[in-house]
Amino acid sequence: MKIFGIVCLTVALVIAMTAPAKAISAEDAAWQKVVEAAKREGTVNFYTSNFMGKGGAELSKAFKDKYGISLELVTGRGINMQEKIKMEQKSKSYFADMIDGSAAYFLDLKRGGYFESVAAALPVLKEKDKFLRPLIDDPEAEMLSIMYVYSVFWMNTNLVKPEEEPKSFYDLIDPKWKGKLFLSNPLYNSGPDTQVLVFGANKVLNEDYFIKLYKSAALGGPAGAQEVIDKVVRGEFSIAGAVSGTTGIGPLLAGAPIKPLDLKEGNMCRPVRWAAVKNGPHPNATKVFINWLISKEGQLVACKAINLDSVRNDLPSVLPYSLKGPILNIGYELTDLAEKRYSGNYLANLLGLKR
Amino acid sequence: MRLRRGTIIASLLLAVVGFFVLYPLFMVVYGSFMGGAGPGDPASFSMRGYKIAYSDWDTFRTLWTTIWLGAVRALLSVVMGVFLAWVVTRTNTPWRRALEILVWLQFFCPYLPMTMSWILLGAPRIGLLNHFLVWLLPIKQGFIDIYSYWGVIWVSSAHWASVVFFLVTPAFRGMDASLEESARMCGASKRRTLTGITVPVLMPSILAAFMVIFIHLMESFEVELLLGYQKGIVVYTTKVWALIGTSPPNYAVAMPLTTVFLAMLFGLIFLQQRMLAGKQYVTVTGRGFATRPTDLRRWKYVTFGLVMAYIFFSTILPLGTLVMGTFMRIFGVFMKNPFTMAQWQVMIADPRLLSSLKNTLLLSIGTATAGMILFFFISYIVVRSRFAGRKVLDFISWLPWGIPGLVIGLCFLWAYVGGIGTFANRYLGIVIYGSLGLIMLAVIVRALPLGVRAMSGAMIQLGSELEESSRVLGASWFYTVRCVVAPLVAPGFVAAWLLVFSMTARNLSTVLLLYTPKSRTLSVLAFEYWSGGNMEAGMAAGLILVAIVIATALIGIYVRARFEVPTGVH
Repeated sequence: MKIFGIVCLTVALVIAMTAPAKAISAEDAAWQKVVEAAKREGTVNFYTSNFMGKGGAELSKAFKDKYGISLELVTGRGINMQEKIKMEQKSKSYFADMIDGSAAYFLDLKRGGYFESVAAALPVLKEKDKFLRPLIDDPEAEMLSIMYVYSVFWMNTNLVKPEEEPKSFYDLIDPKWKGKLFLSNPLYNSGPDTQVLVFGANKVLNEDYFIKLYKSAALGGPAGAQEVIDKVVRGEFSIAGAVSGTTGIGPLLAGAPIKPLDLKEGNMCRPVRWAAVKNGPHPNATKVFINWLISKEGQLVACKAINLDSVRNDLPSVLPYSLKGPILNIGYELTDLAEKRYSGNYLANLLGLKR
Repeated sequence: MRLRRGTIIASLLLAVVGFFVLYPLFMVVYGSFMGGAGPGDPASFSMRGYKIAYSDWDTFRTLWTTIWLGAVRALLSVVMGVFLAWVVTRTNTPWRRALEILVWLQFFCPYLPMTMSWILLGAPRIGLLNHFLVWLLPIKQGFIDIYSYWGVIWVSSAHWASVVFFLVTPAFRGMDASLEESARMCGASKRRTLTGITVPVLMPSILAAFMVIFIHLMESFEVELLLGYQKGIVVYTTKVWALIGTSPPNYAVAMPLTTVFLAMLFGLIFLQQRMLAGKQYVTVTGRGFATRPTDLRRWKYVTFGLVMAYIFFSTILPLGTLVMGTFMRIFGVFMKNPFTMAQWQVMIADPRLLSSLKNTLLLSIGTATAGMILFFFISYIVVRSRFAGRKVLDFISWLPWGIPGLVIGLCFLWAYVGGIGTFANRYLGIVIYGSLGLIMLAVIVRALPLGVRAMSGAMIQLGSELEESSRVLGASWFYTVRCVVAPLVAPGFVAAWLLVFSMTARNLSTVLLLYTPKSRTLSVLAFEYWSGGNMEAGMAAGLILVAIVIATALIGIYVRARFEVPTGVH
C-alpha cells in the first residue's frame, strides 16, 4: 500500500511536472505553424512614417536575414498613409499589413475600425518582466507601444552661449528670445496640444503659459518636425522645438552644433504605436514581424536604426544624451483627448490661428 | 469616308480623354457638396463647405495673392524665357548651342532640392550670399531674404523661364528669317524688327506659354510652402495642402476651394481661346525658308553675358550648392570636417536603388511615349481639324493643369482605387492599385496640358497648304499626318517628349499616394530619405535622377537636331 502510494505520488509528480512542459510545447508548436505560414506568405507590407531611408533599409535587412521574409516599407507622411489605408479597405484592395505612428491619424484609423488585435498570438508578450511600461493601453488591445519618443527643445550651441542656456520653460518666454525661437505649429502638429494637456495634467505648466510661449515664437508650416529641426541646425533660429523622436538626433550624431534643452519642468514622452491592419494580406508574417520587433533582438536593431528608446528594460538607451528633468508620460486616454483637442484646433483657436 | 473615319477617331479620343480627366475632377466637384465627408464615407448633399470657405475673408485674400503672384511670375518667366529663346535661335551670340544646353539644365533640375539650396544661399543671416555680401561690402548684415515675395518670385521665375524656353524654342526655330530680313530691308532697326516682327509672329506660342505658366504657377506648391508660408505668404495650393495634407484632413473646405479654383481656370482657358481665336500665326509654309541668325555685332557679347548671368544665378549657383550638399555631413552646416562620402555610400548600398531606377525609367519612358502619341493626336485635332468637338477637347486638356499634384493623386486614389478599382477587383479580379499602369495614367493626365500645349505651339505654325497638297496628290489622312505633319513638328515633339519624361521622372506629389514598394520610383526614394532626416542622401538620389534626365535630354537634343535640318531646307 505504501509502495502503491509512492508510485501514485511519483506519477502525479511526473504528470504535474510534464503537463506545463507539454502546454508550452503546444504553444511553441502553434507559433511554429505561424512562422511556417509566415514564410510561405513571404512578405510584410509595413506602412511607416518612422522607418524611412537608411533606418528602414537596416530593419528590412535584419528581418529578412532572420526569417527570410521581405519587409516591404511604404513610407510617407502619416496623413498619406491614413488615406491609402482607408481607400484600400473601402475598395477591398487590401495591401497594408501594419502601420506605425504617434500622431492624430493613428487614433483616427483606430476609431474607424481599421485595426485588429494580434496581441493574443504573440509569444513575446509573455516576457512581462522585460518591459518598462505596458505595451498595450487601449481597451481593444489593437495598438502596441513598443518604442518611446521624447518631445525636446533644441538649441544651437553657436548661437546660445552656455550661460544663456534656458533651464526652465519660463526662460523660453524671456523677451530676449523673441525672433529667435521657432516652434511646431499647433495647426499642423498634434504635439503642442498634447504638450498643453500633459503639462497641465501634471500641474507643471498651465494653458496661459503655452499661449504666451507660442505667441512669442515663429511657428512652422505644415512641413512638420524636419522643418523645425532644420531651422536650429542651420542656425536660422537659436532655439526650436518641441521636436519629437529622432528628428534632432541624426544631426546631433552627425556633428551639428545643437544640444537638447534639459528643462527642469520635464519632457513629454509618448509612445510610438504599432497596429496590424484589418484584412492584411499577410497576417502570419505580420505577427512574426511584430513579435520579432518586440523581442530583444528586434528592438536592438529597430532602436539603433531610428534612435528611439526601447520599451524593454534589458536594453541600454540609444539616446546620445540624458535628460535630468522629470519624464511626463502620456497614456492612451490622454492621447485620445489630445487628438480630439487637436482635431478641434483647440490650441490653434486659443492662439487665433487658422489653416 | 476619310472624314467619317477621322470623326470617329476624334470622337473616341474625346471620349477617352474626357473620361480620364473628367472622372477624377467630377470626384472633386462631387466631394465639395458632401459636407466634408471623406472618400467613400456616407454623406449627404451639403453646402456647408462653401459657407465655411467663402464666409472667410482669408479665402479671398489667398485667391488674390495666388492670382497676382502667379501673373507676376508668369510675366517674368515669359520675358526671360523668350529672351533666352531669341538669343539662342535667332541671333549670332557666341556658343549658342552650349548656352541652350545650359538653359535646359535648369529645366531638368529638381525643384524641391533647388529650393532648399536657395534657402542655404539666401536665408537671412546664415545665407552664403549674405556672407559674401558682408565680406564684399561695408555692411554688417546681408540684405537678401529668400523668405519673401521676392524670393518666391525669383526662384519660381528662374525655373519657369526654362520651361518657357522649352515651349517657344521650336516656334522661334521654325520661323522664316525672310520676314525679319524684309523688315530690315525696309529700314527697321533690330529692336523694331524684334518687337514688330519676331515677337508678334511668335505671339501664339508666347501667349500659350504665358497661359501654361500662369495657370501652373497658380498651382505651384513647393516654393510657396518653403519660402512663403513662414512669412504668411499663403496661396491657394499651400492652403489646400494645409487643409488636406495634414491630419485631420479638412475636405469640407478644401474641396469647395478646389472647385472654385477650377471655375477660375475655366475662365482663364476661355480667355485664352478668345485671345487666340481667328488669328493667323503660320510661319512654316510650303515655301522654302531661311533661318539665318540676326547679326548683333558688338551686342552679341552683351546677350552672351546676360544669358550666362541667368545660367549662373538660376542654375550653376544653386546646383553647385546642391552637389556640395551631397558631400556634406549636414547640408549647409560648416562644422569641423564637414565633408564626407558617406551619403553616396548609403545611397549606392541601398538595395532599393536599382528597383527604383528601373521603375523610374519604365514609368518615364512609358508615360512620355504613350503620352506624346496621345498629345500629338489631341493637338492635331484641336489645331488642324474641323472636328466639332475640338474646342471641348482643347478645354478638357487644360483642366488637370490647375489642380495641385496632391489633389490629382487623391482624385486618382478615390476614382481608380475606390471607384473603378473596386469594380475591377470585385468583378474582374484585377488589382490596379499600386501598379505602374495606374501611376502612368495619373501622370499622363497630369502632363496632358503641357504636352498638348507644347505640340499645339508647333502645330499652329504649319500652313494648311502642306496637308492640302498631300491630299490633292491622293495621300490618305493618316499618310499625310505621318509623312507631312509629323516630320515638320518633330522638333516640337521631341522637346515635348523630353518635357513629359522629365516631369514624370521628377513627379512626387501624384506618385506618393499611388505607389507601393513594387512601384517605388527614385523621387519617392529621395523623399523617403528626406523625410527620414537624411536630406543629404536624399539629395544624392535626386542628383542621380537629374543625371538620368540630363543624359536623356542630351540624346533628345541630338535627335531633335537631326529632325531640324530638313525643316529649314525644304
